[in-house]
Amino acid sequence: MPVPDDRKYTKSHEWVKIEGDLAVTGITEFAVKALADLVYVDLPEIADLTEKGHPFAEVESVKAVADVYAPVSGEVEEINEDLVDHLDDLAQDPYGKGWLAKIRMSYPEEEKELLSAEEYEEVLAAEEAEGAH
Amino acid sequence: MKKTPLHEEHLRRKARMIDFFGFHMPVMYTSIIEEVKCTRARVGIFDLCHMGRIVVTGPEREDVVRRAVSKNVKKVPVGAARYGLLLTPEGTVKDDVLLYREEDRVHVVINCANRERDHRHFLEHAEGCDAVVRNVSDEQTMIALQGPASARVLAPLTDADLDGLGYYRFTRAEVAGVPRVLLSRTGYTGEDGFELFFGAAEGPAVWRALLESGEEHGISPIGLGARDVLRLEAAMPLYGQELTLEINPFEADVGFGVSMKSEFTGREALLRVKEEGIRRKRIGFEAESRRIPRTGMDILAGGEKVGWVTSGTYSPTLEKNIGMGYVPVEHAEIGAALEVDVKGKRIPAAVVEMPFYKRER
Repeated sequence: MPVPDDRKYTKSHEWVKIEGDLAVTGITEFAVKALADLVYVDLPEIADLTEKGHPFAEVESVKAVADVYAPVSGEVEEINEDLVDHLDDLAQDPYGKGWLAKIRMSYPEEEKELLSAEEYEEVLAAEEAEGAH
Repeated sequence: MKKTPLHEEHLRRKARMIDFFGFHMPVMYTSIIEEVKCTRARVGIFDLCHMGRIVVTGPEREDVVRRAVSKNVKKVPVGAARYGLLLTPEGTVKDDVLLYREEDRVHVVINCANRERDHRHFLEHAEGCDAVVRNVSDEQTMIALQGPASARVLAPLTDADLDGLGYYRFTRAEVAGVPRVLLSRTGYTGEDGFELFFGAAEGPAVWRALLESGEEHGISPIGLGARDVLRLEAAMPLYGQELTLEINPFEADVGFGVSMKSEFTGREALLRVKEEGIRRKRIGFEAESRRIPRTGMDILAGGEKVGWVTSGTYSPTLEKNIGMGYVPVEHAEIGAALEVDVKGKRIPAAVVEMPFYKRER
């Protein structure tokens, strides 16, 4: 699974693309594939406050409901409202049309705590090794 | 974690594996929805080796089974399978099982989670009797082949007369070179299909032979995720969800698994239940929401909690969210308007007929 190197990641499979102090967030292809069979996405509301590492959205599949953890702290400025009716965007294009929310970062220095694409690839390799046993 | 004889086959296909009551089992190979559709439209193959199997032999075997299981084995024709229950003395459900009556033995298929407890249940009922109870769960392979093309996949591999094998009948036949396979026309999906029982060592070879034979029919291996959706669409109860130590067979609407004229543990209690009537009942419902009603969520009527969801899923076949649960009988009539509390949000749910899905015959 290719991991775009134009953004940052979390161990819990969220991605963040930082533009100034605005963080576009979503979940990775790995997360989408792991959930499979998406049926619903519960987005935060505009002006909701997010706290890094705490749930701020939910993605539901036939199998389970998964929390999406906020990769950065801040205030939700925009959400991908169309997603609820176009879950295929999330399934097919998680790094593009499948973005979830844009967060105005309260602490831009949190960026340093996020994983690079390379570091995230190591997380994936470890998960894959674990999955095989 | 325990592995089934087919474990390597799942790893090779890169199935998503989970811990299922101590077994490392495939929950999904590609997609739950695709696997459900494959089984309904074509054919699917299932590793069910985690299920438990008990064999009772000896001269008094049928007396033992008759006391241990609510369905009277002596009334089951040789060569037929029947649904029955293991009950507590209080008449609640310890497990639901399939009985296979053979000339010289009774073969019982039990749930994975209850392997040890059910084995003890049979041993207790065999005390002082001339019968032998064996837990053969780890000695056998159990594979299901389910879906409209099942017979076409199986026929080239067996000498059994499949056309002559009716629903809930079984035979002993050669399958893929393995002699005396217990081959039954049963399943847990609501489709036509077969379940096969034979030695553990032959598991991988038969699995591969069935997949090969099924290739031209569009066969796919099916994980436990899709199996759960399939049985739920067919409104078949699952132990631990619809059936528990708190529920009696009449509440669960599985009275067809009880021979009241027989003689079994729990019968006295069930006679009282029959006399007094039941106060709550298993229902099926359709929910109007994108979110899936799930096990343990509250069911409400008129804003008050009246029951609980035992199972829920998105049904790819009906393209609706469906579920089962328990509510008081006064809220159980078809069409009753209920609500399910999905994480604080109340979604409308209407009581509907079960099964949700029934194949055309």
